[in-house]
Amino acid sequence: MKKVSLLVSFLIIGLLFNGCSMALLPERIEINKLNLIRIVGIDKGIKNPDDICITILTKKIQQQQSGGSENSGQKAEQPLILTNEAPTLMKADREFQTYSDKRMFWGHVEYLLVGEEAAKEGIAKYIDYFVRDTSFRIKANIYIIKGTTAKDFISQSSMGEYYLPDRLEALNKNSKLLTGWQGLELLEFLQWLNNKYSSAVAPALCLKEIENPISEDDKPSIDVRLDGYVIFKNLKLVTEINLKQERGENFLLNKVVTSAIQITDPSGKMVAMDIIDNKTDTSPVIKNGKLKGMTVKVEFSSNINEVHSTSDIFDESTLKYLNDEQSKIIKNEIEAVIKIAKDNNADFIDMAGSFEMKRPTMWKKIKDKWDDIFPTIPISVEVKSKINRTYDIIKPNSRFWEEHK
Amino acid sequence: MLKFWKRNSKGKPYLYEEKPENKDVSLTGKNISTLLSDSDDIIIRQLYINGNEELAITFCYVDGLINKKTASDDVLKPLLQEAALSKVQDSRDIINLIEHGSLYYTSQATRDNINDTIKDVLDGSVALIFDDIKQAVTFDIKGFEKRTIQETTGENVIKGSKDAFIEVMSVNTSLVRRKIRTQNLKIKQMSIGQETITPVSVVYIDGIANSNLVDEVNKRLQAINIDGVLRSSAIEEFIVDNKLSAFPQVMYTERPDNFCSNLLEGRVGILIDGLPVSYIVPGSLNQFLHAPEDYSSNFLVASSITFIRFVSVITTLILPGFYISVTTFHQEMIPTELAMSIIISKEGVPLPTYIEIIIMLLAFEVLLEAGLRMPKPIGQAVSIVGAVVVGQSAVEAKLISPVVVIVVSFTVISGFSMPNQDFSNALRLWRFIMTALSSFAGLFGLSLGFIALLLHLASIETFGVPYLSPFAANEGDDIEVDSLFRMPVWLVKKRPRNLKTINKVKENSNVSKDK
Repeated sequence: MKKVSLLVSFLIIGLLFNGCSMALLPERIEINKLNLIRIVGIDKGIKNPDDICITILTKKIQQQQSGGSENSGQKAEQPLILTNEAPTLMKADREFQTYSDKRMFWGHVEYLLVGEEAAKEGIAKYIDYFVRDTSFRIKANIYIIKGTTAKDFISQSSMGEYYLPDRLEALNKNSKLLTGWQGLELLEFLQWLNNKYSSAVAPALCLKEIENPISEDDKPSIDVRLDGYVIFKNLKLVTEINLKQERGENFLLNKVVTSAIQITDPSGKMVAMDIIDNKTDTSPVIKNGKLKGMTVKVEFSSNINEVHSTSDIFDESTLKYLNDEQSKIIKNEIEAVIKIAKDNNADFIDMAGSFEMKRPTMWKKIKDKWDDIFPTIPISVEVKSKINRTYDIIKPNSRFWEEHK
Repeated sequence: MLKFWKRNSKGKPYLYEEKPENKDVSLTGKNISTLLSDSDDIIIRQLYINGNEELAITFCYVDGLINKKTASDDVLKPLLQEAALSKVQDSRDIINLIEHGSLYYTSQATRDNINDTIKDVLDGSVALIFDDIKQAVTFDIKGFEKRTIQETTGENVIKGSKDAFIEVMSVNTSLVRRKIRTQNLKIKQMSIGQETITPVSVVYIDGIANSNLVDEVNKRLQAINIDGVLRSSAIEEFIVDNKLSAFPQVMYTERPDNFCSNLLEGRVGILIDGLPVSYIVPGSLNQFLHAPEDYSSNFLVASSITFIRFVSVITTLILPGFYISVTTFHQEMIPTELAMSIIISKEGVPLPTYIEIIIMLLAFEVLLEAGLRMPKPIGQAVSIVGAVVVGQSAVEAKLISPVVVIVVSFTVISGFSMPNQDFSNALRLWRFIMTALSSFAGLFGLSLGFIALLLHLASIETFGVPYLSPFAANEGDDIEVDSLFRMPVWLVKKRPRNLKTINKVKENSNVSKDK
């Protein structure tokens, strides 16, 4: 009986405490009273450069129509974009509450977009609020906006038919087809940024005007594109890698999922090959206890996906030629990225990490001098490749017709 | 204190205290008719054996309880016409002849006590009372109306024996005997209930069931002192260990095959006259999640279904609470797209989510109760009202959001997948506690509720067997056997360890997996 009365009194106390602002219990808020923020854009203040400009995009949900009419169901959804400027993000966030009939909810932010100017000034102050506040998802993806501010990026890209969060999700998923990463989580970026010896890399986005060939409307629409990577050194954006160079970086970081290589065969026609697996091994070269350089060994294999030539290229000598060509292409790409890294003295190719992994004791001795060592250290690249298969058609498609002319 | 109703001479405690007026009443027809007066269904007649007026006897029975044809043909007719009886001179000779087979009946008893005689008559016997020597002979000629053995109504059978227990004890014991033919099957009978004097049998297999368990069951049954045993609660609520728990600690079944398989495991069965169900002790949580049907189907299929049942227990307990928690306290836990769908469905609904859920859960309980209590012909109306009002109209009127309807339906349906109704009911009760706690404190409250439930279940011990065994006893032994999954029969070599059976080996055939 004692237990029962305890339980009952516990329930009564729970009921009485509930709703009180000083409640012991967590605060209750209905889900439909929330405004789920999907995208956050951060820029340098526009009116006052010391302020922070924050732009948020939520999904504004129209009320569902009831009744038996044919048009019942959900009305078109419109994104709601709000901008605010304040010295700190927290103040800006609190002020947002007064703009909306619902509670701003940060738990569903999927993308954090940082303007180029803000990144150049130093990204730390712009992202601190999001990693410190518990309601924010640190698994949100971060992108740096090139060529414009995050505010303009959000507002202009929302004018078209796409809903920006959906468009970014698709980009994220499909970027691996172009060798890009599947997004970069804020947490991973932060860990990278906090590493004293290496430099962080973040994927970049830009706006691109595209001609619409189907509609007769002359107005070109604006779409979102991936635009290589940007490199941070000491929390500031220092340089960038364009789309053509990013594969070299991906190889160095062992992040290639799939990638297309285009080669001209001996007859001058194109051959397209798909990289299906790769393994990169970076290790220091040490002689007599002294660091002589670093070696990057890359092994990858590919499949032949497309052949334009009508002559049979699947003989040993041509395959060897194709093999050598693809190795050469990848080697050049990797070396180009290494050059950028050394020129900027920004170790975004994770040489420090590989060194530490392979020679932890030696690393402890030299790590404080790494900033001086890195730009001068010779880095050699060795690439081995293999063509795995040519798919079921072992002869060119048009060969039959060529032979029976 | 002097006791009444002496049924055997082993000095068991008697349930019925002596009535003073019967103390020294002699066994005569007149006294019996006085004691049984005011009951028109009791027939008392004077007869002369072979027409000899000096040999008068009183013939007594309860109308409707005996088979009259047998009484006429096998008792009365030989008594009045048999040549062997025509020569006898006194009552003592007649009793002697009857005891040695002059009347063609197997089940008779000689009584010299009026109370025993009355008990036999009320139990369905015909009594011949010899006033001169104060003795009576009773013939067990039960002939009352009873149900035939039919299919079970509460437990569906697909592949298995379809007979079910009925209300008559002797039929039920015969059903058990037909299935277990060993001489070790013991059926010990006793009477419980001061007014109803209901026969109750304790059934077990000697050499398998732990003798301490059998003694404990007997002890607890004998300790019951109640006016009547007409419903199962009269026995069940007295013999369970944790009397305040909602969870069943005694298993019931209508099926003799299920009853027998439990006896073979080493459990003890209880049969109560007048109830078409049997009881099995000790009951443990694991038992309530296994249906007898599992053992008739392929072990892989049965294992999958058993596993789903365990998942259903969790679902039916926590789903409403979990929904309240994530939609009102921890919205960040929901995937964004799902959160959007929930927001759309909730748009325009004025009630808070926890009120919606509680209303819907209560509505389902009321519908369920109404469906049970309504007479069958109008029972359908309940389901129509339920589907239309609770489901469709509430959603259309924006009182309840469609997601809540789905959540509550799924919860209720999961609860119905339990093989044992008592267990399902206990889960229903705890579901409300979980829901209430979640509406106060979200997942924190839900976790508290779950911990409280686990503590409660872990504290129950029925007849010395932990309720959560084999999950939380025996250091994890037996957990692989018939717990989350059903093992193939040839792999289960031993009886459940927690029952501490005398004979531990269940199966010892030489089976290889490859054959």
